[in-house]
Amino acid sequence: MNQDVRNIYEVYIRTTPERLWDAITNGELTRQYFFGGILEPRPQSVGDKMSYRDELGALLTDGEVLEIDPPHKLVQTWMKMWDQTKDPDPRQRSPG
Amino acid sequence: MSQIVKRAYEVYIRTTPEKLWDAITNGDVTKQYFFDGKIERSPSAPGDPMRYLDEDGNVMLDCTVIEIDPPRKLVHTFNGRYSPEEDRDPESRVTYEITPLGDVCKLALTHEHFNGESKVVEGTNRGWQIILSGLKTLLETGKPLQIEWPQEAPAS
Repeated sequence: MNQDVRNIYEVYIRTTPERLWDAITNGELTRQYFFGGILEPRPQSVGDKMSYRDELGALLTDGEVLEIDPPHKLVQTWMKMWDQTKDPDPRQRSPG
Repeated sequence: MSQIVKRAYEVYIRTTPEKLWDAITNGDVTKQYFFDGKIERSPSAPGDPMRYLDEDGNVMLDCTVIEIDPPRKLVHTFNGRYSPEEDRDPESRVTYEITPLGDVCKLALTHEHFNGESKVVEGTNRGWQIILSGLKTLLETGKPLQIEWPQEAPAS
């Protein structure tokens, strides 16, 4: 039987909402902390793709914006794309 | 029926195991990130008390060392004294494990509650995330993290 699993994380960062939002949505910054993953283009509205690619352009994770309210809330679908053939994952959803 | 609830946290900090160990066991450092709680005396052996005192000297946490292996592992009992007696949970257990990874240390913290879910479990869950964020910020920047809480809790 399947059942939703929800993992919740909290971190407190000395920064502003605008700088944190930029760090989450700007590929130049994501590649510095997101396992090298570059988010491009910057998500702007519901339905936009959220694709993180490595330096060679290979997809690491793929997804789509479900809700976006800068600089406060981002909800996206999330799908693992690395090693896809070895370990396929069903589509998941993650709040940003 | 009660059952063990285990909450596990991981944080990666740019520091050395020795500095991280000192931050966890030295009261002058703990008071900068542990809700102002100062460890009365740095623990050195199993059975040592580990009491966290607030600024007025009141006991916030009354703990006892179970296992200690500097700068790698610390296990202690956890008895909250910050709430009225009727709101307290029975003794629980906290484990710190430090793993060096180049210039970074992984800190794994586990809190085992032996009487199932409770308000205290939820409260300490929130508390550890604040403490660990503060610990990381302090060690990486040299300045404590000061959080301005809103007057009313935000709707979640």
